[in-house]
Parts: sequence; C-alpha cells; structure tokens
Amino acid sequence: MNFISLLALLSFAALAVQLTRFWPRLAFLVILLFTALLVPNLANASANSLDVFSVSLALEPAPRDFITLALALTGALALAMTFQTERAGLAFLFWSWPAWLIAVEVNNFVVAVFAWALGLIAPVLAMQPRRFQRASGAAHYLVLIIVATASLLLANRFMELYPFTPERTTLIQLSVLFLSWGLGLLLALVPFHLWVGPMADEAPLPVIAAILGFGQPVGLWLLFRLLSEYLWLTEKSNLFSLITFAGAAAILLGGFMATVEQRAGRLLGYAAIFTLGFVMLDLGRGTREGLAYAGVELASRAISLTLFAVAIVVGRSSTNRWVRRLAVTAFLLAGFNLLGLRLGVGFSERWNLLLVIASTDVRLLFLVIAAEVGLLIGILRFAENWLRALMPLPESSAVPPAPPEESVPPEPSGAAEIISRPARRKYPYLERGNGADADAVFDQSEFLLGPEARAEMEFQTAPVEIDQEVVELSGAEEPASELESRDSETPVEENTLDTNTNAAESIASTETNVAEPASEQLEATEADRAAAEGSAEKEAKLTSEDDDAYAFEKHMGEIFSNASRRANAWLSRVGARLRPPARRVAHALPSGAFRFVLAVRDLLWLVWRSWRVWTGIALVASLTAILIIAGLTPAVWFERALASFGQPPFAR
Amino acid sequence: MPTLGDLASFFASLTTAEILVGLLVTASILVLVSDWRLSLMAFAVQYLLITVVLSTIVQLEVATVRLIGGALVALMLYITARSIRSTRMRRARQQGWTNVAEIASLFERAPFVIGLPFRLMAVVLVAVSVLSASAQFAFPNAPLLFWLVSLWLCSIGLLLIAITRDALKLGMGLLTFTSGFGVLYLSIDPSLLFYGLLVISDLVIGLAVTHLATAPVQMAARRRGET
Repeated sequence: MNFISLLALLSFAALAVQLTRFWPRLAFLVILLFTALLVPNLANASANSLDVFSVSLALEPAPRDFITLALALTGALALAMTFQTERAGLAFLFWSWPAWLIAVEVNNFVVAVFAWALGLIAPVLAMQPRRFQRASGAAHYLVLIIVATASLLLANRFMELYPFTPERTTLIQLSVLFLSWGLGLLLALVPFHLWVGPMADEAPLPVIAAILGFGQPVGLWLLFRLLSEYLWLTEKSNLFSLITFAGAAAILLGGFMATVEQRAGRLLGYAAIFTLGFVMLDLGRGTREGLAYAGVELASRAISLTLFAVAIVVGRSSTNRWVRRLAVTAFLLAGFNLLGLRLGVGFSERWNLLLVIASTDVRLLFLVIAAEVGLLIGILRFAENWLRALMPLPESSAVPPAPPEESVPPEPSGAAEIISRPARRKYPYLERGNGADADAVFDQSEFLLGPEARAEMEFQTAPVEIDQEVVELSGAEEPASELESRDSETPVEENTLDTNTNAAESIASTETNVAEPASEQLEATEADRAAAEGSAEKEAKLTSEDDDAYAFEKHMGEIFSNASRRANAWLSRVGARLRPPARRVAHALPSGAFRFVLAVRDLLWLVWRSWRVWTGIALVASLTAILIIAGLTPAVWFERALASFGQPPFAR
Repeated sequence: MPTLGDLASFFASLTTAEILVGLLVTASILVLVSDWRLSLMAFAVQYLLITVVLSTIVQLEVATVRLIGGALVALMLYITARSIRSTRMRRARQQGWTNVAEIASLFERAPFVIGLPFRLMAVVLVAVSVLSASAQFAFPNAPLLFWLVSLWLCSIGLLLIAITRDALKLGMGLLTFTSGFGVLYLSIDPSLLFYGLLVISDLVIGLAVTHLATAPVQMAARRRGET
C-alpha cells in the first residue's frame, strides 16, 4: 500500500470512529476492524518515495516498525476508551496519526515539525478543562506546542544558515539553544516538564498515553534526522552532553515525582518522563548500539504506557471482580516494565545502561536507583489504593460468633416459593425472570412447540410452597409477617418467579449470618430436596457461597439469566409477527434443535450483554501477553532496531 | 464589494508608521480591555494590519489568504463567545433571574488575573523592552521592520497568555504570537509552503481554542479517564 492510500485509510478510520463513538459496541467493532486493516498494511507499506509539492515522502524501516506497533497500541487504547462513559475524544486518538505519519515520512523539516505539532494539537480536542471557559492545563499544553514549534523552526533556520556563514559560530549556539528549548518543551524534559501534570488532569488516560507514548517518539525521530543531516551540530556543539544531562534529570524527576503521586494521569506522565530519561541516555551515547537500545526502550515504553492506561480504564469501568483483579495485575506488570524490572532477559537491556552509568559516575547510579525505588513506591501505593477502593476487605476475617437463638435475624422477605430444581435445570432462564417474562416464555413455547410444551413447562415450574416450612423450622415469626405483607402488596402471579429468585438468593446469601440451628435446618431442608432430586453437586455449591469461583459463576449466571430474559422477550415479540409458513417451520423443529437454537441464542445474547467483561479480559490479557513476549525477546527487538537504524552518520 | 485592486490601493495608502501604531493599539486593546466584543474587533483589525505587512513579502493574492484565514478564526471566536453568553443567559433565566444587566454582572468574571493598572504597566514595559531589544539585537537576515513587528506581537501574545484566565483571550494571545512568528519567519524564508502551513495552523489553533472554551466540565474522576 502506498503512502496516499495509507493516509486515506487512516483518515477514514478516524472518521468512522468519530461517527460511531456514541454506540460503544459499534465503535468497538469499527476500531477492531480498522486496526486489523491498518496494522498489516502499514507493516507491508511501500518504501518507495513519493514527491508531492516539492517535498519527498518515504517511509524508512525504523519509523515504520514503530508506527506499526504504535497503531496497534492506539487501537487497544481506543478499544479501552469505548468502556468509558465519556467517549467524545475517542476519534482524536486516530486523528493524530495522519499528521504524525507525514511527520516521520517527509524530508522537509519545516513540514515535519508542523505535522508533528498538528498531531499533538488534535488530542487537545479530546481534553476537557477543569473549569468552564477557563485556560488551564489543556490550554497551556496548546501554548507550549506552538511555542516549541516556533523554536524548532527557528533552530532549523539557523542550521540552514550556518553552512553559508561558517564564521558566525553564534548560529550554532542559537541552533542548539532553540532546538533544546523546542524539544525540551515537547518531550517534557527538565525544566520544561511542568505542563505534564496539569495536562494529565484534563485529559483521558488513553489520550495521555498516546501523546507521551507515540507522539514524543515522533519528535525524537525528527531529532535523529536533524543529527543525521547536520553532522556539524554534534561535532561543534555539546548536544550529546545536553541530551545525556536531560536524560539523567528526567529519570530523577520522574522517579521522585511519582513517589508521592496518587492521580492516575499524573503517575502515568511521570512514569513516561522517567523512561524517556533512559531513552535520552541511550541517545546521548551517540553510538549505533545506543540508538538501537533507545529504539527498543521506546517500543517497550509505548507498550507499557498503553497497558498502564488500558488496565486502569478497563479496571475502573468494569464491575466484575475478575476483570478488576486482572487489571490490577496488568497495571503492576506495566509499572514494573517501566521500571526496568522486566521478565526474563529483558532486564538486561536496562541493566546494560545502568552499568554504563556506573562506569561513568557511581553517584549518578545511586540517584538513578533511588529514582527507580521512588517510582516503584508510587506504583505500589497506587495499586494498593486502587485495590482498597475496588475490593473493600471485610472488617474482620474471623468467623463471627453465632448469635443466641432468640436473636436470629429475620428471614429476608420474598421467600414465598422456590422453583423446582428440574425445571431450573431444564429452563435456566426461568430462574430469575419475573412473572410477565415467564408468561412470555410459556407463550413462546406454546407457539413454537405446541400446547403440550406449555403444559409441561407450567407443570415443571409449578411453585412449591416451602416458605412456611422454612419459617417453622427456623422458629422465627417475623419473616412470616413480612412475607404476608409483601404478598399482600404484590400480586402473586406477577411476582412468582421474582420472589422465587429472591428466596433462593436470600437463603444463599444469609447463610453465614443466620443462627446455627436455623441455618442447619435450612440446609437440611435444602438437602432433603436436593437428595430427592438427585442434585447433590449443586447443593455443595450452595454451601460454598464464599468461594470466589462460585461467586463468579453466580455473577455470570445472573448475566446469563438477564440475557435469557431479554432474549425471550425479544423472541416473543418477533415470533408474534411471524407469517404462517414460518410458524409451520418453527412447529416442525424437533425439540433437540429447538434447545440448540435456544442455547445459541442465549450464548449470543450473553456475549452481547456482557461484552465489557469478555472484551475487557481479552484486551488486558492480550496486551499483557504482548508485554511479556516483548520482555522475553529483547535480542530480537535489538537486532531489528539495529537493522532498521542502519549506520547513522553521526554515530561514534 | 471591494476588489483586490481596491484592497491593494488601501494597503499601499498605509504608511509604515500607521501600521506600527495600528499594531501597537490593537495589541494593547487585547491586553487592556476585558470586553470580548472590543477585543475581537481589535483582533480582526490586527489580522488586517499583519496582512498589510505580509503583502510586502509575498504576493497580494497570497497575503489575502491569511486575511481570509484570520477572518475565519475571528468568526469562530465570535460564534463561540456568543454561544457561551447565550447559554449562560438561558441558565440564569431558568433560575429566576430576569434583568439582563444583572445576569451579565452575575457571570462576568474578569478574564485577567491582574487589574488594569498592572496590565497597563506591563504593556508599557513590554513596549520599552521590544524597542530596546530591536535596537540592540538583530535577527539574522531579518529586516528591522519585520523584526520589530515580530518581537512586539510575540511579546504581547505571550504577555496575554500569561495574564489571562479566559480561554478565548488565551486563544487571541496564541494567535497573536503565531502572527508575530509568521512575520519573522516569512521575512527570512518567504516560502509559500510555510505560508500555507501557517494559515492551516491558525485555523487548527482556533478550532482547539473554541473547543476548550465550550467544552463541558466533567467531574474530576471522569476528566482523568477513571470512569
């Protein structure tokens, strides 16, 4: 695919996401589709140059590798953003990419800087100020982009002028000054980092990750091209020393600021500054290997920042405890990766740099290690607070003493009838429906299978009066009155299944609280019924309520039941509109096929209803897998980076 | 309707001194006056004067593009300001306020972080500094007039950015800064490519500023992408 087609596809992807952002599932599918289209096309994009308006565009191997990875990660960030309630800025993750693609391909520095700046401005449209109409973090971020762009353009102009007047050495100093100023502002290097915090307060996490993880490396590529074009810049100035100094300062600042930071956006920002410091140290070495290490570090940083943001967004937008646990684990993994505590031999990459620092200045090594500890503390503190907020622990893990018999808590209301177990097995979607839905299911079965099926279902689901029995066994009088009052308030016909559900739930959920004799009697009642019906396994599950696995199963069961209820209602409505030939086809279906169709339908409905759970798990797990694979295969990445960068002319 | 020839004759009738005084006055109004209508008018006139300056570097037809771009940006800012005002009025009326003047005073909050005397002092200091710096330092290959105009616009733009808390005012400051930078850069490299990119960037900046001025304020956690 050539450059124009790629640009068109990127723009079209951004437009499609922009249009579909109000429907999260549709936006999810669109993002998935376009990411799947863009990534392979970019990986196999033509390397031929293209001349447009007197500028030449060519995609070199190193930026192509990075952009391919970054686009895939952008897709992941956008997918995570569909989980948020606020999705107005979703498409701006993609709107930046056409501009950044031009920036890395064009051979004209002025155009490249403008394109980079436009790509950085696009995410501003996804930011929201803290106070209405007031200039704050996002507005100041916009200001610094403009000022930095002006500085870079001036630096470029001075560099262009110097060869014509080599006696004016002031031009070299001015070039380095404006270049440092411009790049320092946009890369958030010390002391130009002050915009990161306020900007992070006003931007969604995925947008921050995109700006810092993908936007900043574009600027570093521009620096690389400048260094390759103007060799005198490194020979006649102390630019490499400046880069090294900026890198060391970024590590220290990022690490120490992260120590006390508890806001997700700011923590992400400081972690990004911290890792950028290592990239700058690698660049400052001025060698081919250093350049390759910087490339590997940038790729690893992009993956880690993405996983960092995705884990927080998915974890905080999901109510499922398993998704949350996975998110916290992925967050910690991303944080450790940013620290350099990587899996397998991936650690060697950062270790190598630390050895170089140690051979240069031991004091600096200690400071860098202190900064690492600082970031580690910040990440662990954030994870601890997150865990506390998401999963509140019980006040006391000890088993509460059994209360005296006379103070047995009342049986929760709603224990009127319990649906029979065979019916629950056969028609699981009846378990938690209400009366109206049950009628709809009966109608549907009669319509599809005939009146016999309805009769069978009504027989199977016939309520069994056990509540009085339970109350008598437990010895509590209050529940009976409660139940009476409830029954008097609501018609039994309409709430039969609902109250059945409540009864089952309440019995299960209050097992740990009720008095020992009462719970024993309840269990005995249940056990008798279970033994009579031959379902001892299910009974065992009922008694292991606190087990997490069972809690998860129960949660999924609720989702499944709700899904089934909605699917049945929908099918009933559709079925009522079927023409006679279709009815005959439906009647002709064998019962096995009917059950299969029902199962498939329920499964699809379940996927539809609980897409956040499945996609959240899939998203976080796949990014974690990428991170682990990247951590385990640094040699492959290093070789790839070495081959991509080739032999830069300024390398020592 | 004025033709391009009329425009050219109007531009030619303006002397350098008039242009400089005009830029001095319009930029000062941006910093000194709180009223958004007057500021916006001064901003539009400033764009016209910059086009006059640029018409001495590039062809008149090309220079007019910046005038059109400036007019579009001013229009965007005007629509945004009106929209904000009408939204506030509507909300106030819903809450029982009836008097327009009272409503205006209710929502009018000074767009600057410092008072008028300090702003006046700041403008004077910037003017003196610009005159002094342009006399002492010369930008490589840049004529004095352009260097002076550029320095003035960039300085006043940065001053406006520094002292305002209003997003629209900040946008005006930012665009004043880019205008000054554009004058300087075009004086040393009058390429059409750069000129076109400058106009595009002005429009994008205008778009971003109007977004920031009208974007709804979210809860802190939502703003950080935590929900």
